[in-house]
Amino acid sequence: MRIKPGFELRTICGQHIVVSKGIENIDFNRIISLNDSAVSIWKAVEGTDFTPADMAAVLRKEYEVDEATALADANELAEAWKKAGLCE
Amino acid sequence: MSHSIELPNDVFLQEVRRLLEEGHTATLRVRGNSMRPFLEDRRDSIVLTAVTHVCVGDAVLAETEPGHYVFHRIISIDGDKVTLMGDGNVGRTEHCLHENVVANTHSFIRKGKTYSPEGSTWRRYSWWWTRLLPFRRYLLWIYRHFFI
Repeated sequence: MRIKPGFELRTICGQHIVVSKGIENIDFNRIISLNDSAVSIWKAVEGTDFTPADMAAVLRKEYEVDEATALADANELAEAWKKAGLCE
Repeated sequence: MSHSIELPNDVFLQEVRRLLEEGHTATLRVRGNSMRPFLEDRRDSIVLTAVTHVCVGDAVLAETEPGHYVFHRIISIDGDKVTLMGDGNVGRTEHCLHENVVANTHSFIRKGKTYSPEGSTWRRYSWWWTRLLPFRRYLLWIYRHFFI
């Protein structure tokens, strides 16, 4: 999978939000925010083809977490990103 | 997973300002009661756009003091000086300079329905509401007690 082109990560008041550069209207009622670990993953995989295993590897590198937990979290995040339309 | 994030107004609106300058419009949830009865706290939203020109009667986002923003209606313009008053306020006005008007209204989202500031509903409402200013205190009382 891959993060769709046109999405940009921004930090507003300490909150990490994903903004679509292409769209005209930024709807703050429906904003996609990422927590710190999701931000680490986003930055690591942005612009590349990646799998949940790659996402899990980022988690394991940055946090003390076992492989199974990292993979479960990565799968969950990958699903959430797909559902939110951030990935293709 | 959906949840609300509350951000401090001054920093948040600074960022909104930047997005508007980049050519985006921004949809924000209304907070506070100062634009009653048309806009209700947390129920309604406004879509803001960068300022091109402003007129008396426009609902605008303005920085009335450094870091302090209001979304109110312009009630008079005297050269560079702009005076604002919220529709839900009965006498309190705010003052700023033309350059402190940050955003114009692209549209209002009231009870899920979108209204243009150029449209007949907003214009008719504005015509009546601004002329009923002497009775506003009583009208707002009725609104608060019977319509919310």
